[in-house]
Amino acid sequence: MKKKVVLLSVAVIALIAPNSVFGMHISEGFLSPAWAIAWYVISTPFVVYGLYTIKKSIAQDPRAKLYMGIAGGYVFVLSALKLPSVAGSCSHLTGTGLGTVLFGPGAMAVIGLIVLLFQALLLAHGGISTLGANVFSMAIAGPIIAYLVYYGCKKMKLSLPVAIFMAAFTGDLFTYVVTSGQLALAYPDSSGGVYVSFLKFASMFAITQLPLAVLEGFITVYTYKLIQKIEKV
Amino acid sequence: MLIAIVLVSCPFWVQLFHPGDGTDDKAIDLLTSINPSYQPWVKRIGLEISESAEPYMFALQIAIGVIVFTFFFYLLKKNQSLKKQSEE
Repeated sequence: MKKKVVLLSVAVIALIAPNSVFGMHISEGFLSPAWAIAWYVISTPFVVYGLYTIKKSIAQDPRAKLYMGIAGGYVFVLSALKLPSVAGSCSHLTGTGLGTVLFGPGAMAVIGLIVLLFQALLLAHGGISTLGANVFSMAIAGPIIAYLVYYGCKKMKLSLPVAIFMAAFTGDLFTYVVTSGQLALAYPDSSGGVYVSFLKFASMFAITQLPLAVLEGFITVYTYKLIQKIEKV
Repeated sequence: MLIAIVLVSCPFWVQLFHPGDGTDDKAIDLLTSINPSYQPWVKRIGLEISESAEPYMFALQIAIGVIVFTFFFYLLKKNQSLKKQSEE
């Protein structure tokens, strides 16, 4: 276990140290005050509901704290990993799939908020004015879609690894779809309006993100299996 | 082990693909083409870090994540072992 963690840490630092870090969140000042406030208003009830679900889960089973710590650490690691993609640009994963599969989408709104706040204040990534929008795309919309896909796959009696893979994959990809929508709403194309603007942003993000979403699916399945292994000890 | 292998191989991918701009930088370019008069309306709130220090701050986030993940993973393992022992 110790060996694995050391190897993981060295690899992570080797991966990111030589390069500047880029990502996917909407940067500070990107959205007008009206849109910035609107996304805060939309996101707040989800975060409040997330706090309620966390409290309820811990009251039902105190071990939920441990799983939440694991899910939180997982988001911290994956959302900071800059990875190159086939389009010649780079982006990072979201890491919200694991927590969604473990607790549902509610708790991820809170965990995602903590990570995004950390990045906005200390890493100059994202921003405080765009925090509401970034929380909505990464920590609310992505996990909700991931959960629906996971639930759908289970209903269709697909195997657990396939359900987890599909959940993490679509959750990651949908985060970018929502980010594209947010940017398109704020900056409609002068000739084609919101729709054309959305297609422009979405096509730009999709090319970069598609292979990374596949990678996130595999990593999430592996991590889930690791947790399952411990539960069987 | 799989995660470790994937991550260890990442620097080679970096060399292989020569990553260019991040998607958020590309979004700024696209936004400027849609709206040439675009200007951020608010200055950055929070720590101002240089571009060269940025990767190390992200390394810090990863390190925090690895520590948190490993700590709770260890606690869960310990918890399960104690549970099994008490059942026996």
